[in-house]
Amino acid sequence: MANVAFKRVRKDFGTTTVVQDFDLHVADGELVVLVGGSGCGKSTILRMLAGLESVTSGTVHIGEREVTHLPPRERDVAMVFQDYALYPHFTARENISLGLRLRKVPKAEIDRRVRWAAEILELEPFLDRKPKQMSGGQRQRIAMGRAMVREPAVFLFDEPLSNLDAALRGQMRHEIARMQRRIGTTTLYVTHDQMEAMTLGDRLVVLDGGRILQVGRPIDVYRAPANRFVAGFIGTPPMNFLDGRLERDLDGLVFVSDALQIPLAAKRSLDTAVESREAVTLGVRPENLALADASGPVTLRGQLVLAEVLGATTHLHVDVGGRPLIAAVPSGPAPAPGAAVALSVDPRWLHVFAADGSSLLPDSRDP
Amino acid sequence: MRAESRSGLLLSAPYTAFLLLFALFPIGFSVVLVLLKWDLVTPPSFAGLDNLQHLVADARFWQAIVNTFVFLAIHLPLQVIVALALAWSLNRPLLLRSFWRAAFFLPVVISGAAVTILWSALYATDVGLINGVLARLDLGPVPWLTDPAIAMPAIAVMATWKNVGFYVVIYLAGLQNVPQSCHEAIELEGATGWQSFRHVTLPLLKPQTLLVVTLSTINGFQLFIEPYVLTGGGPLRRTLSVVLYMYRNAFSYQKMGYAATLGLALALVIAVVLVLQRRVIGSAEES
Amino acid sequence: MQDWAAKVPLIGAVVGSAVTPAALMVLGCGQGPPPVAVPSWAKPIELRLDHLRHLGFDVTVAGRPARAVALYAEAPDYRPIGSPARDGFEGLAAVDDAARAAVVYLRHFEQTADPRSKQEALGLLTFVTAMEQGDGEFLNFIHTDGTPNRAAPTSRKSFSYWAARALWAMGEAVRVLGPDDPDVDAVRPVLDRTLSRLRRDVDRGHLVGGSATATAEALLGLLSVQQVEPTVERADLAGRTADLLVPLAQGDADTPPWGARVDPAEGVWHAWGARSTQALALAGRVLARPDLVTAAQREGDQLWVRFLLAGEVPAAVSADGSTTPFPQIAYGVSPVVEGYLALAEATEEPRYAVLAGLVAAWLLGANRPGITMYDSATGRTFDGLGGPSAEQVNRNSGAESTIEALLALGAVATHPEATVYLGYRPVGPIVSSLADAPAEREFAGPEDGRVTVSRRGATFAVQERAGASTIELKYWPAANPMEVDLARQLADVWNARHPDIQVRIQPIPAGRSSEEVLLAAVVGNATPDICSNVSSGLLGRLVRAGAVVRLDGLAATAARLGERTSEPMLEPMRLPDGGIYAMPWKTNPMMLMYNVDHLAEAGVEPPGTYSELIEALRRLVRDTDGDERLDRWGFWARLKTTWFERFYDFYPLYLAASEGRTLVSQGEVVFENEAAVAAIEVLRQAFAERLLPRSNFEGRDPFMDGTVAMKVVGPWFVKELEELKIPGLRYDVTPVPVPDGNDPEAAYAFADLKNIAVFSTTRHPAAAARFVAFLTSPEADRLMIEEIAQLPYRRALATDQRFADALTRWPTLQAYAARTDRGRDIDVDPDIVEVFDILSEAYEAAAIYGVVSPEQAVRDAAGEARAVLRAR
Repeated sequence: MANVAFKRVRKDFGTTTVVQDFDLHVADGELVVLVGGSGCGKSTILRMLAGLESVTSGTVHIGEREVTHLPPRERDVAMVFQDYALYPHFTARENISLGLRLRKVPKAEIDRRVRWAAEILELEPFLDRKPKQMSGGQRQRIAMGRAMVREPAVFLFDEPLSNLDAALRGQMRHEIARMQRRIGTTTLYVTHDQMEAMTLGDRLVVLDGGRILQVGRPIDVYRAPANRFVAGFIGTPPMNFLDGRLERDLDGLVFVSDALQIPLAAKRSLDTAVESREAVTLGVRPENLALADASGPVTLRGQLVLAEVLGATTHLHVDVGGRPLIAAVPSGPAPAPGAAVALSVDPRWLHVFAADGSSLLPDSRDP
Repeated sequence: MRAESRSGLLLSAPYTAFLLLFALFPIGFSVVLVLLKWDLVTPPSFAGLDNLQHLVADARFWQAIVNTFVFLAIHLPLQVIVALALAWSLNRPLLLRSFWRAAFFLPVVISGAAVTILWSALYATDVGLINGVLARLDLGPVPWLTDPAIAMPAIAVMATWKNVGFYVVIYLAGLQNVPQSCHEAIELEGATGWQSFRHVTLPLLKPQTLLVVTLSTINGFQLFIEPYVLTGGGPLRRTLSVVLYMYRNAFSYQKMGYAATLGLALALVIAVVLVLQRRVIGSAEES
Repeated sequence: MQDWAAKVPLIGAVVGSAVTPAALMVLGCGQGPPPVAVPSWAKPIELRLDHLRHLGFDVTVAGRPARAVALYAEAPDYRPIGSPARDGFEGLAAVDDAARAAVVYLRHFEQTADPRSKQEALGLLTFVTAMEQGDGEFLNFIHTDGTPNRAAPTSRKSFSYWAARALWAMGEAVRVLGPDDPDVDAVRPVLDRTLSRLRRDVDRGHLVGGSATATAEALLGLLSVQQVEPTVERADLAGRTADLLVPLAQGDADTPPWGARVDPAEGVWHAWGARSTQALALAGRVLARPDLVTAAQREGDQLWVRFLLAGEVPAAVSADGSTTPFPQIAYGVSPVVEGYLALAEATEEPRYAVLAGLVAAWLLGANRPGITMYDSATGRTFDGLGGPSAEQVNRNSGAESTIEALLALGAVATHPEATVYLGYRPVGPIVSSLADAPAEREFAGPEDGRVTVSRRGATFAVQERAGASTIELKYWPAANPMEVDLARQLADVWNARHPDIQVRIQPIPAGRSSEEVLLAAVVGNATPDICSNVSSGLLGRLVRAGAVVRLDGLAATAARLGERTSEPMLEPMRLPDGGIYAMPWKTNPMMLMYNVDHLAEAGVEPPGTYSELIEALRRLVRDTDGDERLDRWGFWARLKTTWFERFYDFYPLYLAASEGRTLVSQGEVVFENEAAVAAIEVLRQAFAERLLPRSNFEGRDPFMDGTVAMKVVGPWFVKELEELKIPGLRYDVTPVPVPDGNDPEAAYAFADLKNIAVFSTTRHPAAAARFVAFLTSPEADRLMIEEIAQLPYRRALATDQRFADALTRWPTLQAYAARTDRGRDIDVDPDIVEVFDILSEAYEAAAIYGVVSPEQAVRDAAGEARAVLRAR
């Protein structure tokens, strides 16, 4: 158990900089999720912590030790790989226990730990099978068991669920969360799936292009995304964006986009910082759009293109003056495609982003 | 017959004829020859089981089998170890790596006779290069090819040099199939380089190792050009190989029936040995 | 179920298609087309002595038991009888006939080593020498009871015809049996006295008995002795005797009697006894006097050529050139035949041999009535032709006719270029006038062969013309450049002389060894007509396969075998059926070659015995560069066990010790003896004392670079040494050492023979045989010595005048030549290679590695070899 610190870590591959100026503290026992698109550097950061990649500049710390140049086997980290990296010729039991056997841990202790991990992960029936005789989920659990029995200072997960089907992914997410809470080891978890990120992490680190875009609790990142990328990345279905500009009128700021006008009067906090006629992007999450009657506040009018019924919720794809929007509404009698539709938006949940992507909202707390 | 089968049979007919003529017919012919006495130029006569009886009591044949096992006992481990070591060294970024890979493969494609003649110059007791180097180190000249106990091991070393390149290629392919993540995983688990090799690489190379051993065994049993050029089967028959003995019976003594008998016996011995090897090393599917 | 039903027939078809043709082919294998049968005209003439023996009888003369031949025998029962009433009852037998009969038997012994013939000859000589009267003069006839007839003019004590013949017989005895033979000693005193008596006549310029015939026959005897025991006095006497004959010739190319040599008293040339040409030609050759040869040619090129142009040899020719054609007798034909053969040998021009054959054909039917005079079943020859018709044949057969026929045919039978023409007949009518004889006469032979004899001024030409079509022969020499070159040279000479038989050279196709190539050629029916690279080891297998033609069954090669080799030289090459299946062509007898300077430096004589050899090896080892390792040795004994490696150590030593015994004889193992053990033991000792290098010396010759001082090798190596001109390498040869107590000069050498074979696929066996006879002619043999420094397998090579010059072309060749008569080669046995392999391994175990005693090694090897021979 230990905390983890990255201090101004940078990684170059040849002339290309993949990770820039990465600073992060992970508290002891915390589960931090590194999330971002492909090529954002998240796996590289993880591997630098493991020692599988060298660090170009900066330092990495695990607990009290600086581990920047230590070989992997001396760092006391365990990793669960995307392709599980099980040893195909060993049984599950042997896979799990190999690390311990290599370190000459007494046999009794090995057996105890293996039993412990098997119990937590429900692996007892499979311990004597070889990996090729097991399903993906079972294999993933073996990989986790292998990491667990080491009782390392840090767990690393490198997109462990990417190779599993959707149902299994969901199940395994819970397993991982449950396991981590139970054992309490500091964990870094890399994924490109924002749902995993939201459900698993104590904190999220959103990355793009080798830089940190935002760090924070999932709910905070969700409600108060620091920039447009984060806002669009987190949340399903993704946030609706409308480009336009701000104008001031008698009541305050108004978002104007062609024929559309959405007053932002309630956002008084914007007044001081913003000039009128500035180009901005308005963001509103689908779940904050509702079907409205024709005369409600902040109404958008458009035509229904498509209605996806997901069960309790229905996603309405609406064309508003040429711009596509998605609204997530409770299912009910829905208008037919092509019908005129009016959507109302709760102004409390409007996001405004400047031209450079940064959010013009001051913080993430409820207004 | 369906049209498809008919055209299939027709299209495969040329190659079938080729196989029948050059593969099956010689095999059938050899089997028939076992029962005959024939000197190529006069009509053959029926020999019944004489050839087989002679084989069983033939000290030279059994000596040749023993010689082959001696050869394999040295050649096989050497081949596997050297090929694996070379493949492992060549599997990392290296200056002039393509050159090294080609260089190690070159002996495979040089004609066996040329290689053998080259090594006869290396092994020559008085003026050979190897003894020359040893002389610089004040070590006595070693009678590489004229000492009964040393001759076959010397040939085994030479055969290793000749063929190792081929198996380096096979091992290289195998090494590249070992998942990098397995190495990383075991590294994280605290394994040293050697432990990683032993627990991850080696077991995953089992199919290649089985191939190397099988092919080397078959080649070892078919040893011919080296004893033929270097030693003529001596000293004291210790480098006599079955194929050399067979060749002698066929083309020096014109005893075609007995030569065919030797060939058949050799094939059987190879088959038995391969089966045993498979049992010991394990089949390729188990990894 | 359905799957299997479909598969079984398929599997059956596959297996069946593999096994069935295998079985069929195997059963039908190894059978090529049947070989071409040798036509009867190509077979050698049979020399039978049956009738002559029938005429022989025991007689006691001057108290000594002897043999004689009856003068006459009359048809049809051919009971031997003596001189009839018309001749005055001279007696039952005469020195005349006995002496010439002795010559016949001596020559037969020379060819066949048949002891009966030697016995008979000695018996006849006892009779002949007993008739000498103490002063070199002889009586002639004896009566039935053995008493001489002193009275009859044809029997009086004198130095005449019968004395001359006696001299001839004694001379031949010395030549054939050898000057040191004890049986010859008994003849010596008489011989010496006879020669003294001859000298008296010659000193006074008298012809013996006033007769050219008698003088010529005496000269023949004198020359026989001179050939094997040359002395200056005899040479002088012979020269002056010959000089007496020279001026007797009369006429010239255009003037009758066209060079005929006539007795001064006679004035008429008669065929019978016309021996001057033969004697002069022989004298010219033996005494190295070309003028005598020219003298012989005067009659042979002119008068005798007219006989051929006319179509027959007449009984007599007068001074004006008119002829008396009959009676024609063998005694008239034989001197012409032998005269031509003597000219052929003296001039080395084959055209004379052709004429000899054409004339000798008279005995086989080339006469006006077409009667075969010589019976090849018994040797009985009819006494003569009285006239042109068949009724005029005198079918009696006395001693003289048979003797002369045997002399003529015996000489032709050892002349390859003559024997071919025995089957030829003149084309067109016989012309009785020599003056009107055509300028050209054609002779027709079997298979449309044609020979044309034409007069060219004072000499003549012989041309052979193709019959129906040109015969082409394919000849494979060994592939090494020297032999190919030699082959081309010889083929060019042959092709120029024989436009109707053209020889094409193709070096043996490439292969690991020529043996494999030849066997493959046999299997594939792609053999050439002739190959000159056949080793004796291979010959056994070729004969077993029926792939080669029996060469003593073809006239030309049978003749060459008779001319070139003695029976002891041929005996090891005879197959169990007695046949000779390849012509032994060249030999490289192995001797011990040594570096003169190294041996001198070590103070060592060339070793002759095993002890001397070991001592020499001890003294010759050196460490010359101070690295405490020996780098100079006395000898290199090869370490590999491949069978032919033993040719350079064990096998020569064994042959030298074994008094001629080889490894296998008539299918039995004969090497289990002390000689084999001794040969292995001496090398074992040398290895044990570390006197021999343990190295394979790959790619270099340690003798050439001075690493070893001695080497067992044949004369071919001399050419390499001379051509490489290695500075400072002086070498000489000595016979291979023998066990202590044996005589090195009497030991046998490893002959390393190469033979010429005619393959049974040839379409022209007779023509092929003629070419083979040419390849082994004295002319070709000389070229071989000069071009490739290898020796023809020829008897008495070292003393044969014809090769003396050639042998000086390369150093040490004369020493090697002395070994050719005492050679032993690899046994002609199909399994000899395997036997050699077995012995080689036994040798290795005993000598090189010392893991088994030589006795045990030889015993084991013999046992294994016997098993191999038994198993076939």
